[in-house]
Amino acid sequence: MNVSDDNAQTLTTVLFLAVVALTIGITIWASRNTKGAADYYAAGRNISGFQNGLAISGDYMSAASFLGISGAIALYGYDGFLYSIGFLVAWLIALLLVAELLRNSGRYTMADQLAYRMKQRPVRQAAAVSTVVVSIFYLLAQMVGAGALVALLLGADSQALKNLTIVGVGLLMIFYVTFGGMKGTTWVQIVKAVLLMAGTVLITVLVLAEFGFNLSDLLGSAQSESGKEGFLDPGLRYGTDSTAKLDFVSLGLALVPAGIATILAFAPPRPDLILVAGLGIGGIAIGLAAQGLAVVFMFGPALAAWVVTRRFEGRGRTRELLEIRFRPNRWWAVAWLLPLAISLVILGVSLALPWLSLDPGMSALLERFRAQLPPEQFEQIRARMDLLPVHPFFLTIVQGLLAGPTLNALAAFGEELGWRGFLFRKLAPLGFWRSSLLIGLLWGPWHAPLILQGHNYPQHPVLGVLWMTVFCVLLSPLMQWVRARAGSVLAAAVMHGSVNALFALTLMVVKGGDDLTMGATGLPGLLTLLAFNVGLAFVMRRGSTPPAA
Amino acid sequence: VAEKLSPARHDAYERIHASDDFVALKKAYTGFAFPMTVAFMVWYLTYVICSNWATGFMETKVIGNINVALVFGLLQFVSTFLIAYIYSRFAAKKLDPIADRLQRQYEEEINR
Repeated sequence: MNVSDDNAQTLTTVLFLAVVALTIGITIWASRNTKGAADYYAAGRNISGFQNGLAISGDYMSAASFLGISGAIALYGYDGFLYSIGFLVAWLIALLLVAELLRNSGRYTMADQLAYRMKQRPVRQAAAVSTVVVSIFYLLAQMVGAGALVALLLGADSQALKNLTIVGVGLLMIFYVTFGGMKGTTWVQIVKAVLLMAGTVLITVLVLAEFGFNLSDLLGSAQSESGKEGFLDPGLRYGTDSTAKLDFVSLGLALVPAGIATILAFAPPRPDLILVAGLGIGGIAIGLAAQGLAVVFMFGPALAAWVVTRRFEGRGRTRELLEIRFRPNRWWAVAWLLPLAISLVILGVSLALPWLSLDPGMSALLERFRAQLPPEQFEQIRARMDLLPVHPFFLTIVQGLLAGPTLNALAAFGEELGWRGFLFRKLAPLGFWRSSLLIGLLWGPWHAPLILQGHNYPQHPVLGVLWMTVFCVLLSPLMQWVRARAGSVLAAAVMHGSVNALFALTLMVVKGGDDLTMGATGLPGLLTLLAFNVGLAFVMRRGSTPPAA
Repeated sequence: VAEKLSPARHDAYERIHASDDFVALKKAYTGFAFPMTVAFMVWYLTYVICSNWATGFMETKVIGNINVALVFGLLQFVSTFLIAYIYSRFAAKKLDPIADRLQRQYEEEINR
């Protein structure tokens, strides 16, 4: 690195930190000026049309449009430009067909409007679930992009440092929204819009000046530098064959609903949604962090639940509201031992399934280890296994029963404070089954970043997300039942910890399937959990009062 | 946040829905928005289709390295901003007065 590079590095770092400091300043200012719900959700209704327009532009001018489109133009020339026009035209759809009607109806979001004519609850549930699911996948890409960009700006080389910047960016976003409310968010977006537009105009003028303001020369030079024939003509990307051409027409049409979906995404933030955004970011952080660090990031949901509850529902009562209560009753024992019972039943079910068979020599498990570990380490593990006085299966039970309610519970507590702490109480009005379904639907896709990286379902990372969601939806009622009976979110953490420690048993001594068709998170587990749910429904109908928050 | 409409409010909505003003508002709005949507969609799809299948025409040079494709694309920007401008003028002149009148009427009815 030479001297001028160093200078440029210093300059970008200083500029970057200045922007961060400015936005943090705005957030702190906004949080001081925010009193009451109308201020928090709607900035006290003091944002003018022009300010709001700027803020929405800031939202639109995401990394996707800036980096994605300029990258596409650099690679595919004219076809990159062609692609960007779809977004522009889609905006007219939102303007002409959605915005006016929404405004005249006096409602703020699509869900508000739909909820007037239809049943409130299902409409709101659908809107919340779709917002969350879209946001998780959207955030995933955005956060990775933002982290990579910041790492580049700051000259971070090591992977650990890059991961740390991504986590830092996520925390900064949570800070903006939770502390600044609508006022802070709007002003941060306005600053972003103005900076980006001013920067773009500046760069455009400088580049044009380089070519004496002759657009034709600029294009000709781009053509020759690209080294591609027909760089300025349509067809480099979408014109290769008739399928690609049709693809583009359908893409052009797909951008139309995308314009409408953007409006839906402008729903004013509610604490619940902010929490969920926090959960999403926590989940992403898990996916990005190394295994050892994952434990730290499981506390994302806990952090979000704690901050939101503390801020909106009274200081001092946070622990009480989230039911962080250490007063063990017999349901704590259920939380501790039920996962073992379920694992053993899953094992039984596995052996009854035609494609699975007993594998006391653990050949399938060893095969998986051999594929994943360096040979010498594998041999070491194998040698140690031969020295064991009892079968490793029993050792895992003992180890799981010890680690489940202690070490694993501590890690699981970070998640549980979000799921069976905050959401449990917030969704209690929906009734037992609906709230556990909704929690399961959030809890499952939250694992997506991990699973897409090959955890749990190394052979089917994409389908694995779906499987994991079904698994979480089926496990959710059982967790919720035990947690409600125990009257403490700590019991849920014990149960979650035991699940994490003991469900591996179902994979140890079985062979014959793949990750979708064996084990607790595969078909045998899903079938068993389904049966447990039927049993639970039966118990609840037999006069046991349904647990409520 | 849950919004419960009282019967009085609901009746006010129903009355406004049947009023001449509301019918006129809807007619003015659809009379503008629908033809305009069809027009710009046709204009945009023509551009997309030309880019894919009329490449010879699109590659025609206009001045120097500037070809028809680039001009056509930039015209999409011009038309989008023009439509937005025309629409905001139209809404301010034709739609907002009626909408404001209806809003006042609604508030009077429910506060009676």
